[in-house]
Amino acid sequence: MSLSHMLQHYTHATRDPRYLAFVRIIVGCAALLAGLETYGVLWRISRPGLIVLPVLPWVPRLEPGLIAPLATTWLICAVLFTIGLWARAAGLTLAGVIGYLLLSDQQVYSNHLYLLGLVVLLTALGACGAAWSLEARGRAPVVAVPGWPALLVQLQITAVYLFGGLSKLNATYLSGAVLAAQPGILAGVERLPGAPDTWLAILATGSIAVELLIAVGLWLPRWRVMAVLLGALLHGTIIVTMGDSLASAWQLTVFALTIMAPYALFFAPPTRPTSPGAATLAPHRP
Amino acid sequence: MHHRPHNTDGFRPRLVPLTWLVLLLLTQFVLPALLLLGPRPARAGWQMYSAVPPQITLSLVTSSGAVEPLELADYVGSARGDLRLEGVLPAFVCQRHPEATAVRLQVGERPVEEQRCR
Repeated sequence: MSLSHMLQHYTHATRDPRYLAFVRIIVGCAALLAGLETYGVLWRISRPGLIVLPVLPWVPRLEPGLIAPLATTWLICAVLFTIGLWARAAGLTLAGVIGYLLLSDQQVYSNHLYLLGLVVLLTALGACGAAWSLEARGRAPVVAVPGWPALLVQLQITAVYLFGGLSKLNATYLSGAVLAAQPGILAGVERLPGAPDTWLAILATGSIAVELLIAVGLWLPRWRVMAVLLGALLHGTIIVTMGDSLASAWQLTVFALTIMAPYALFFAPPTRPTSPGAATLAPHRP
Repeated sequence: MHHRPHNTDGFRPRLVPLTWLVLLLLTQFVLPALLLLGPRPARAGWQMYSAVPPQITLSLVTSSGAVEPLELADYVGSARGDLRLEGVLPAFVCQRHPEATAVRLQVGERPVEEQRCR
Protein backbone atom coordinates (compact mmCIF):
# COMPACT_ATOMS: atom_id res chain seq x y z
CA MET A 1 0.00 0.00 0.00
CA SER A 2 1.46 3.38 -1.01
CA LEU A 3 1.73 6.32 1.38
CA SER A 4 -1.00 8.09 -0.56
CA HIS A 5 -3.37 5.13 -0.12
CA MET A 6 -2.51 4.86 3.55
CA LEU A 7 -3.25 8.54 4.10
CA GLN A 8 -6.50 8.29 2.16
CA HIS A 9 -7.47 5.31 4.28
CA TYR A 10 -6.54 7.24 7.42
CA THR A 11 -8.64 10.27 6.53
CA HIS A 12 -11.66 8.40 5.16
CA ALA A 13 -12.01 5.17 7.12
CA THR A 14 -14.92 4.92 9.52
CA ARG A 15 -15.50 2.95 12.68
CA ASP A 16 -18.21 1.58 14.89
CA PRO A 17 -18.80 4.42 17.41
CA ARG A 18 -19.18 2.09 20.40
CA TYR A 19 -15.45 1.47 20.68
CA LEU A 20 -14.63 5.15 21.10
CA ALA A 21 -17.58 5.45 23.49
CA PHE A 22 -16.05 2.70 25.62
CA VAL A 23 -12.77 4.63 25.78
CA ARG A 24 -14.67 7.82 26.65
CA ILE A 25 -16.46 6.20 29.60
CA ILE A 26 -13.40 4.51 31.13
CA VAL A 27 -11.09 7.47 30.57
CA GLY A 28 -13.77 9.81 31.92
CA CYS A 29 -13.81 7.77 35.14
CA ALA A 30 -10.00 7.97 35.25
CA ALA A 31 -10.28 11.74 34.82
CA LEU A 32 -12.55 11.94 37.86
CA LEU A 33 -9.99 10.06 39.95
CA ALA A 34 -7.14 12.16 38.58
CA GLY A 35 -9.01 15.40 39.23
CA LEU A 36 -9.29 14.66 42.94
CA GLU A 37 -5.60 13.77 43.12
CA THR A 38 -4.46 16.80 41.12
CA TYR A 39 -6.48 19.11 43.37
CA GLY A 40 -4.25 17.98 46.25
CA VAL A 41 -1.07 18.46 44.20
CA LEU A 42 -2.08 21.99 43.23
CA TRP A 43 -2.69 22.98 46.84
CA ARG A 44 0.62 21.44 47.90
CA ILE A 45 2.72 23.34 45.37
CA SER A 46 0.89 26.65 45.81
CA ARG A 47 1.67 27.03 49.51
CA PRO A 48 3.35 30.34 50.32
CA GLY A 49 7.14 30.39 50.18
CA LEU A 50 7.50 27.60 47.62
CA ILE A 51 9.16 27.94 44.25
CA VAL A 52 7.15 28.26 41.03
CA LEU A 53 8.67 26.43 38.08
CA PRO A 54 6.86 27.46 34.90
CA VAL A 55 7.38 25.24 31.89
CA LEU A 56 6.95 28.13 29.47
CA PRO A 57 7.52 31.68 30.69
CA TRP A 58 4.54 33.14 28.81
CA VAL A 59 1.95 30.81 30.34
CA PRO A 60 -0.07 32.69 32.99
CA ARG A 61 0.91 31.75 36.50
CA LEU A 62 -1.41 29.45 38.45
CA GLU A 63 -2.68 31.70 41.24
CA PRO A 64 -4.14 29.99 44.34
CA GLY A 65 -7.50 31.64 43.62
CA LEU A 66 -7.70 29.75 40.32
CA ILE A 67 -7.31 26.29 41.82
CA ALA A 68 -10.89 25.77 43.02
CA PRO A 69 -12.54 27.03 39.78
CA LEU A 70 -10.20 24.92 37.64
CA ALA A 71 -10.72 21.82 39.77
CA THR A 72 -14.49 22.32 39.64
CA THR A 73 -14.40 22.75 35.86
CA TRP A 74 -12.28 19.60 35.62
CA LEU A 75 -14.70 17.50 37.67
CA ILE A 76 -17.82 18.78 35.88
CA CYS A 77 -16.24 18.13 32.48
CA ALA A 78 -15.11 14.67 33.57
CA VAL A 79 -18.68 13.79 34.58
CA LEU A 80 -20.17 15.18 31.35
CA PHE A 81 -17.54 13.37 29.29
CA THR A 82 -18.23 10.07 31.07
CA ILE A 83 -22.00 10.19 30.75
CA GLY A 84 -21.79 11.58 27.23
CA LEU A 85 -23.55 14.90 27.57
CA TRP A 86 -21.91 17.56 25.38
CA ALA A 87 -19.14 14.97 25.35
CA ARG A 88 -16.93 16.59 22.75
CA ALA A 89 -17.07 20.06 24.31
CA ALA A 90 -16.54 18.60 27.78
CA GLY A 91 -13.56 16.55 26.57
CA LEU A 92 -11.91 19.45 24.79
CA THR A 93 -12.42 21.71 27.83
CA LEU A 94 -11.03 19.05 30.15
CA ALA A 95 -8.01 18.56 27.90
CA GLY A 96 -7.53 22.35 27.88
CA VAL A 97 -7.58 22.51 31.70
CA ILE A 98 -5.10 19.63 31.98
CA GLY A 99 -2.89 21.22 29.31
CA TYR A 100 -2.83 24.56 31.10
CA LEU A 101 -2.00 22.94 34.45
CA LEU A 102 0.82 20.89 32.92
CA LEU A 103 2.31 24.05 31.42
CA SER A 104 1.77 26.21 34.49
CA ASP A 105 4.34 24.49 36.68
CA GLN A 106 6.83 21.63 36.21
CA GLN A 107 5.73 20.24 39.56
CA VAL A 108 2.24 19.43 38.24
CA TYR A 109 3.64 17.06 35.61
CA SER A 110 3.13 13.37 35.90
CA ASN A 111 3.09 10.79 33.16
CA HIS A 112 -0.43 9.68 34.06
CA LEU A 113 -1.72 13.25 33.87
CA TYR A 114 0.03 13.92 30.57
CA LEU A 115 -1.34 10.69 29.10
CA LEU A 116 -4.82 11.44 30.43
CA GLY A 117 -4.82 14.89 28.81
CA LEU A 118 -3.71 13.46 25.48
CA VAL A 119 -6.17 10.55 25.41
CA VAL A 120 -9.06 12.83 26.42
CA LEU A 121 -8.07 15.30 23.70
CA LEU A 122 -7.76 12.69 20.96
CA THR A 123 -10.98 10.95 22.01
CA ALA A 124 -12.83 14.26 22.00
CA LEU A 125 -11.61 14.97 18.47
CA GLY A 126 -13.79 12.06 17.39
CA ALA A 127 -17.52 11.57 17.62
CA CYS A 128 -17.11 10.20 21.13
CA GLY A 129 -20.69 10.92 22.14
CA ALA A 130 -22.28 9.13 19.19
CA ALA A 131 -22.98 5.96 21.18
CA TRP A 132 -23.57 4.95 24.78
CA SER A 133 -24.21 8.54 25.77
CA LEU A 134 -27.01 10.73 27.05
CA GLU A 135 -26.74 12.93 23.99
CA ALA A 136 -27.39 9.93 21.73
CA ARG A 137 -30.54 8.87 23.53
CA GLY A 138 -33.69 9.25 21.49
CA ARG A 139 -31.74 9.63 18.25
CA ALA A 140 -31.41 7.09 15.48
CA PRO A 141 -28.39 4.85 16.12
CA VAL A 142 -25.16 5.92 14.49
CA VAL A 143 -23.46 3.14 12.57
CA ALA A 144 -20.18 4.77 11.58
CA VAL A 145 -18.03 7.67 12.71
CA PRO A 146 -14.72 9.02 11.36
CA GLY A 147 -11.99 6.58 12.30
CA TRP A 148 -8.91 8.81 12.37
CA PRO A 149 -9.24 10.04 16.00
CA ALA A 150 -9.36 6.42 17.19
CA LEU A 151 -6.24 5.65 15.18
CA LEU A 152 -4.48 8.59 16.83
CA VAL A 153 -5.39 7.21 20.26
CA GLN A 154 -3.94 3.84 19.21
CA LEU A 155 -0.72 5.51 18.06
CA GLN A 156 -0.59 7.43 21.33
CA ILE A 157 -0.61 4.40 23.56
CA THR A 158 1.85 2.66 21.26
CA ALA A 159 4.25 5.57 21.80
CA VAL A 160 3.91 5.22 25.57
CA TYR A 161 4.79 1.53 25.58
CA LEU A 162 7.48 1.91 22.92
CA PHE A 163 9.39 4.70 24.66
CA GLY A 164 8.60 3.26 28.07
CA GLY A 165 10.56 0.21 26.93
CA LEU A 166 13.30 1.97 24.98
CA SER A 167 14.07 4.44 27.79
CA LYS A 168 14.74 1.50 30.13
CA LEU A 169 17.47 0.15 27.88
CA ASN A 170 20.24 1.56 30.08
CA ALA A 171 22.74 -0.02 32.43
CA THR A 172 21.10 1.27 35.61
CA TYR A 173 17.67 -0.14 34.80
CA LEU A 174 18.99 -3.41 33.37
CA SER A 175 21.00 -3.98 36.57
CA GLY A 176 17.74 -3.98 38.54
CA ALA A 177 18.70 -0.89 40.57
CA VAL A 178 15.50 0.97 39.68
CA LEU A 179 13.30 -1.96 40.68
CA ALA A 180 15.33 -2.46 43.88
CA ALA A 181 14.32 1.07 44.88
CA GLN A 182 10.67 -0.07 44.95
CA PRO A 183 10.01 -1.57 48.42
CA GLY A 184 7.20 -3.82 47.18
CA ILE A 185 9.33 -5.41 44.48
CA LEU A 186 12.37 -5.75 46.71
CA ALA A 187 10.34 -7.50 49.41
CA GLY A 188 8.94 -9.95 46.85
CA VAL A 189 12.32 -10.72 45.31
CA GLU A 190 13.94 -11.33 48.69
CA ARG A 191 11.52 -14.20 49.28
CA LEU A 192 12.65 -15.98 46.11
CA PRO A 193 15.48 -18.54 46.16
CA GLY A 194 18.82 -17.38 44.82
CA ALA A 195 20.39 -13.95 44.66
CA PRO A 196 17.93 -11.02 44.69
CA ASP A 197 20.20 -9.10 42.29
CA THR A 198 19.80 -11.82 39.68
CA TRP A 199 16.02 -11.78 40.03
CA LEU A 200 15.93 -8.00 39.82
CA ALA A 201 17.96 -8.07 36.60
CA ILE A 202 15.66 -10.75 35.16
CA LEU A 203 12.59 -8.76 36.12
CA ALA A 204 14.07 -5.60 34.61
CA THR A 205 14.79 -7.29 31.30
CA GLY A 206 11.39 -8.97 31.32
CA SER A 207 9.54 -5.71 31.94
CA ILE A 208 11.24 -4.09 28.94
CA ALA A 209 10.33 -7.06 26.76
CA VAL A 210 6.70 -6.88 27.95
CA GLU A 211 6.39 -3.17 27.13
CA LEU A 212 7.86 -3.61 23.66
CA LEU A 213 5.72 -6.70 23.01
CA ILE A 214 2.56 -4.77 23.92
CA ALA A 215 3.59 -1.86 21.67
CA VAL A 216 3.91 -4.19 18.69
CA GLY A 217 1.47 -6.95 19.62
CA LEU A 218 -1.63 -4.77 19.82
CA TRP A 219 -1.27 -4.07 16.08
CA LEU A 220 -0.96 -7.74 15.11
CA PRO A 221 -4.19 -9.78 15.13
CA ARG A 222 -2.43 -12.99 16.17
CA TRP A 223 -0.68 -11.35 19.10
CA ARG A 224 -3.48 -9.01 20.17
CA VAL A 225 -5.04 -11.11 22.91
CA MET A 226 -1.61 -11.95 24.30
CA ALA A 227 -0.74 -8.22 24.32
CA VAL A 228 -3.91 -7.46 26.29
CA LEU A 229 -3.10 -10.18 28.82
CA LEU A 230 0.46 -8.90 29.14
CA GLY A 231 -0.88 -5.37 29.65
CA ALA A 232 -3.23 -6.56 32.41
CA LEU A 233 -0.35 -8.46 34.03
CA LEU A 234 2.04 -5.50 33.74
CA HIS A 235 -0.31 -2.86 35.15
CA GLY A 236 -1.76 -5.17 37.79
CA THR A 237 1.74 -6.03 39.00
CA ILE A 238 2.78 -2.38 39.02
CA ILE A 239 -0.23 -1.36 41.12
CA VAL A 240 0.28 -4.20 43.61
CA THR A 241 4.06 -3.88 43.99
CA MET A 242 4.64 -0.14 43.50
CA GLY A 243 1.47 1.30 44.96
CA ASP A 244 2.98 1.52 48.43
CA SER A 245 0.69 4.37 49.47
CA LEU A 246 -2.88 5.31 48.67
CA ALA A 247 -1.64 8.23 46.57
CA SER A 248 0.69 6.15 44.43
CA ALA A 249 -1.86 3.31 44.03
CA TRP A 250 -4.39 5.97 42.97
CA GLN A 251 -2.01 7.43 40.36
CA LEU A 252 -1.05 4.01 39.02
CA THR A 253 -4.73 3.07 38.72
CA VAL A 254 -5.42 6.25 36.73
CA PHE A 255 -2.52 5.40 34.44
CA ALA A 256 -3.70 1.79 33.99
CA LEU A 257 -7.28 2.82 33.17
CA THR A 258 -6.14 5.52 30.75
CA ILE A 259 -3.74 3.33 28.82
CA MET A 260 -5.76 0.10 28.86
CA ALA A 261 -9.16 1.46 27.81
CA PRO A 262 -7.86 2.21 24.28
CA TYR A 263 -6.91 -1.47 23.87
CA ALA A 264 -10.55 -1.84 22.77
CA LEU A 265 -9.86 0.26 19.67
CA PHE A 266 -7.49 -2.38 18.34
CA PHE A 267 -10.42 -4.80 18.19
CA ALA A 268 -12.48 -2.46 16.00
CA PRO A 269 -11.09 -2.77 12.50
CA PRO A 270 -11.58 0.38 10.42
CA THR A 271 -13.98 0.08 7.50
CA ARG A 272 -13.17 1.38 4.07
CA PRO A 273 -15.36 3.93 2.33
CA THR A 274 -17.81 2.17 0.05
CA SER A 275 -17.14 4.52 -2.84
CA PRO A 276 -13.52 5.62 -3.24
CA GLY A 277 -13.08 9.36 -3.13
CA ALA A 278 -16.47 10.01 -1.60
CA ALA A 279 -16.59 11.56 1.80
CA THR A 280 -18.78 8.60 2.88
CA LEU A 281 -19.84 10.44 5.96
CA ALA A 282 -22.63 12.34 4.32
CA PRO A 283 -25.97 11.40 5.80
CA HIS A 284 -27.38 8.20 4.47
CA ARG A 285 -31.11 8.52 4.57
CA PRO A 286 -33.08 5.31 4.41
CA MET B 1 -35.16 1.33 13.08
CA HIS B 2 -33.32 4.13 11.36
CA HIS B 3 -29.60 3.78 11.04
CA ARG B 4 -27.47 6.68 10.02
CA PRO B 5 -23.79 7.37 9.69
CA HIS B 6 -22.56 10.11 12.00
CA ASN B 7 -22.37 13.36 10.16
CA THR B 8 -20.42 15.45 12.64
CA ASP B 9 -17.32 15.56 10.46
CA GLY B 10 -19.10 15.22 7.15
CA PHE B 11 -17.20 17.78 5.08
CA ARG B 12 -14.23 18.39 7.29
CA PRO B 13 -11.25 18.98 5.03
CA ARG B 14 -8.60 16.30 4.91
CA LEU B 15 -6.14 18.84 6.25
CA VAL B 16 -7.52 18.55 9.78
CA PRO B 17 -6.84 14.82 10.34
CA LEU B 18 -3.50 15.11 8.57
CA THR B 19 -2.46 18.05 10.76
CA TRP B 20 -3.32 16.10 13.91
CA LEU B 21 -1.39 13.10 12.61
CA VAL B 22 1.72 15.20 11.99
CA LEU B 23 1.43 16.84 15.42
CA LEU B 24 1.08 13.46 17.09
CA LEU B 25 4.04 11.98 15.26
CA LEU B 26 6.22 14.97 16.17
CA THR B 27 5.28 15.20 19.85
CA GLN B 28 4.83 11.52 20.62
CA PHE B 29 7.47 9.82 18.48
CA VAL B 30 10.11 12.36 17.35
CA LEU B 31 10.34 14.27 20.65
CA PRO B 32 10.55 11.18 22.89
CA ALA B 33 13.20 9.75 20.53
CA LEU B 34 15.27 12.93 20.94
CA LEU B 35 14.76 12.88 24.71
CA LEU B 36 16.38 9.44 24.83
CA LEU B 37 19.66 11.26 24.15
CA GLY B 38 19.40 13.41 27.30
CA PRO B 39 19.30 12.78 31.06
CA ARG B 40 16.55 10.53 32.41
CA PRO B 41 13.83 10.81 33.47
CA ALA B 42 12.68 13.59 31.12
CA ARG B 43 9.21 15.05 30.98
CA ALA B 44 7.10 14.14 27.93
CA GLY B 45 9.46 11.30 27.03
CA TRP B 46 7.47 8.38 28.50
CA GLN B 47 10.47 7.44 30.61
CA MET B 48 8.57 5.99 33.56
CA TYR B 49 10.86 4.21 36.03
CA SER B 50 13.75 4.37 33.56
CA ALA B 51 16.19 5.73 36.15
CA VAL B 52 16.62 6.17 39.87
CA PRO B 53 15.51 9.75 40.62
CA PRO B 54 18.59 11.87 41.40
CA GLN B 55 19.24 12.81 45.00
CA ILE B 56 18.98 16.57 45.45
CA THR B 57 21.11 18.30 48.08
CA LEU B 58 20.55 21.94 48.97
CA SER B 59 22.63 23.97 51.39
CA LEU B 60 23.23 27.54 52.41
CA VAL B 61 26.53 29.28 53.11
CA THR B 62 26.37 31.85 55.91
CA SER B 63 28.47 34.99 56.22
CA SER B 64 30.74 33.15 58.67
CA GLY B 65 31.43 30.52 56.02
CA ALA B 66 29.39 27.80 57.72
CA VAL B 67 27.39 25.47 55.49
CA GLU B 68 23.82 24.72 56.62
CA PRO B 69 21.85 21.93 54.95
CA LEU B 70 18.35 22.88 53.86
CA GLU B 71 15.21 20.77 53.55
CA LEU B 72 14.20 20.61 49.90
CA ALA B 73 10.52 20.26 50.89
CA ASP B 74 10.64 23.76 52.40
CA TYR B 75 11.25 25.20 48.93
CA VAL B 76 9.82 22.72 46.41
CA GLY B 77 6.24 21.50 46.79
CA SER B 78 6.62 18.40 44.63
CA ALA B 79 10.23 17.31 44.16
CA ARG B 80 9.97 15.10 41.08
CA GLY B 81 13.00 13.55 39.44
CA ASP B 82 12.34 15.36 36.18
CA LEU B 83 12.41 18.92 37.56
CA ARG B 84 15.00 21.26 36.10
CA LEU B 85 16.13 23.10 39.22
CA GLU B 86 19.60 24.24 38.21
CA GLY B 87 19.93 28.02 38.07
CA VAL B 88 16.40 28.58 39.30
CA LEU B 89 16.28 27.05 42.78
CA PRO B 90 19.52 28.60 44.14
CA ALA B 91 18.38 32.07 43.04
CA PHE B 92 15.01 31.48 44.71
CA VAL B 93 16.62 30.34 47.97
CA CYS B 94 18.89 33.42 47.91
CA GLN B 95 15.78 35.60 47.71
CA ARG B 96 14.25 33.85 50.71
CA HIS B 97 17.48 34.11 52.71
CA PRO B 98 18.93 37.55 52.04
CA GLU B 99 21.36 37.01 54.90
CA ALA B 100 23.01 34.09 53.07
CA THR B 101 26.31 34.47 51.24
CA ALA B 102 25.68 31.65 48.79
CA VAL B 103 23.44 28.69 48.07
CA ARG B 104 24.70 25.31 46.86
CA LEU B 105 22.70 22.80 44.88
CA GLN B 106 23.71 19.33 43.78
CA VAL B 107 21.47 17.17 41.62
CA GLY B 108 22.57 13.54 41.50
CA GLU B 109 26.11 13.11 40.24
CA ARG B 110 26.20 16.47 38.51
CA PRO B 111 28.69 19.13 39.72
CA VAL B 112 27.71 21.31 42.67
CA GLU B 113 26.17 24.60 41.56
CA GLU B 114 26.95 27.56 43.80
CA GLN B 115 24.98 30.77 43.52
CA ARG B 116 26.41 33.89 45.17
CA CYS B 117 23.61 35.73 46.96
CA ARG B 118 25.26 39.12 47.40
